[in-house]
Order: sequence, then C-alpha cells, then structure tokens
Amino acid sequence: MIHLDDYIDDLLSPDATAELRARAQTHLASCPRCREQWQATLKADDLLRRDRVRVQPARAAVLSARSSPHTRSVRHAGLVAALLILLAGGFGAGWWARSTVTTPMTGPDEEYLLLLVGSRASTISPDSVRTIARRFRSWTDRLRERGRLVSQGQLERAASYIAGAASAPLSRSIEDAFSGLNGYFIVRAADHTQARQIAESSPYLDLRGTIIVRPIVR
Amino acid sequence: LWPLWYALGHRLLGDASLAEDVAQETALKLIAALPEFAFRSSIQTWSCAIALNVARDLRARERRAGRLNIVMAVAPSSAPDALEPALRLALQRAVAALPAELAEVIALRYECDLRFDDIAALLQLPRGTVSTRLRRALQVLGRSLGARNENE
Repeated sequence: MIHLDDYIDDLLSPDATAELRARAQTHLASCPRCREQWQATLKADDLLRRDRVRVQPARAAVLSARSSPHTRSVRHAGLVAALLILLAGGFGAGWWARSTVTTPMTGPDEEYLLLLVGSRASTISPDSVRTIARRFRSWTDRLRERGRLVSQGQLERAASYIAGAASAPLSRSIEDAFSGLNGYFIVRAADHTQARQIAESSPYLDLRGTIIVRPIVR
Repeated sequence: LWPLWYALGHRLLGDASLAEDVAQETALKLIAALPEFAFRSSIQTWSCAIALNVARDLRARERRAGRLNIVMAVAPSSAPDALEPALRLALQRAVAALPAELAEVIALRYECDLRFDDIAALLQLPRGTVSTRLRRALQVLGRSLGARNENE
C-alpha cells in the first residue's frame, strides 16, 4: 500500500492535480494512520492561514504600490522616492496612523498642497539615500511638532486618466508628467511665501525632485 | 511590501517591536541594494529574502542577549475569522519552538505568500526540500496544537 507520506509533499503544493487529490482521498478513507497525519497537517495549515499577521489596512494600501510599465531607472527612482515618503511618515503602523491625523492648529490658517514630483534617486549613492531618508524623517517630525503638517501620503504608480467627451485627448506628455507624482504633503502656513519656504527646506529636493506648492481654496 | 516584511518578522520573532525593526531595516537595505537588483526574481521575493536575512540577524542578536523565544502575547486581531487569542498564542509559541529552517519556510509560505519555487530560489534549496520542510513543520505544528486541545 502506498501511504500519503510518499506524495504528501506534492499534495501540499498549490499545483497539486485533481487526480492526486482524488488518489489521496481514496487512500485516506482506508488508512487511519495517514488520515490522522493529514488532519494534523490540514489543521496547522488552516490555523496559519487564519492567523496571518495583519497590519492596518490603510497602511497596507499605501505600501502595496505596484510598478506600472516603466524603465528600470524610473521604477528604481519611484520606489526609492516612495520609500522615502514612507520613511518620512514613520516606520510603524502607529506612526502612519499618527501622521494622517490632523494636528491641532496653532496659528497659521491657510493650507497648501505640496506635490512631490519626479526624482533621480536611482542616480544617488545608497549611502546618500540613507542620509536623505533620515533627514526627510526629521523634516516631517519638525513639521508635525510645529503643527504645520495636516496630512501626507504616498501615491501609487497606477493611474487612470478620464476625460470628458468634449475634452481634447490627453497627450502622452501629460500622462508622463503625472506618472511622476510620488506623494504629497498638506501643510499649514501663514502665506504662500512661508509654504514655499517649507517646501524649500524639504530634503526631497536633494533627490533632484520637484515640489509644486499650491494653495488649497477654503 | 511593508506588511509582508512585518508579518515575516512577527512570525519568526514573535514580537511586534522586533517585527517593526525587521520591516524598517529591510526598507533601508532595499534602498541601498536597489541599484544591484537584477530583476531575476520579483521584487516581492527579493525583498522577502532581505527581510529574512534581517530577521535572522535580529534573532541571533536577541538570542545572544537572552531575550528570544519568550512569546507572552499576540497582537489583537480584528479579522472576522480570527482565532481565539489563546489559540493564536499557542500557535505562535509552537512556531517559535520549531527549528529555524522549518519556521522560515512557514513564514515565507504563509506570511509572504511565496510559491514553493520562489521559496526554493530564495533559500537556494531544491523545491522538494522546501515542500518536505513545509510538510514536517505542518505536522509538528498540527500534532503540537492537537495535543494542546486534548489536554484542555
């Protein structure tokens, strides 16, 4: 008699054939020893599937960015820039939760959108990227401590472009331009000049990226 | 990718804080190593290999400091089909008691959701060895948790 031991490894594979499964069922019906062994295996499998470690869904959504068809360097740059934004937001789930909560306003009453566009992170040495990552996080911490940070986020590469029926078709260059959006910050500042100063102090510029500052209409 | 690194760290080290360290260090190593990424595997598989090495280093460090394998609690879960806390704790302890080579296959399969072929490539082992380790690990866990149920 061929026991389950002889092919249980194949049976555990996600690619196990229907024929193999049927053969196992037939054997299990008549072999108590294999049945007990298989039940123990299935039980552990079930428990492990149900006990997968979970992090906050919001964080998972932010972190599971997929690259769309791009060149290798663009993918590198995007990923590095995205990781930096992530690092700036703090490493843990708790960190992220805090970073998206509105900080109590302490004076300035205008909000500005800082759009982080493009970067040439892939051309910068790994050591420099590490240094910039730390400075980026400190920069975000300072904004938060001073009550200037409203929220921040990282953008996925995937995008849809929807135009109205009467609109002119979007050109490839516009799509290319928007595909370079890596993330955003919403900050509080007294006026545009101060918002611009905040942007100018961002280590993101050291990645040779661009920051667009736009006031948000109240 | 972060949730995968975190989950792998949590499963192997049984501690949320250490899992954060695994994810954090993996992110930094990933940044540093990106220029060398050869696209021979998916970035998920590649980054999980980095996370596994980070977890191994942390485990060695914690073991030297005598701080490992004391799983006292598991994080609460809001999943609708979540296991009872006592069972989750028993499972985590059972995984922690596995030999490292078995626990690693469990973490890569169930937390990183890698296929057998990816795990084999990552661990530089034949595919058959991976499936054998997985089977051994599952049987040990199943027996361990089954015995626990019988004792209750």
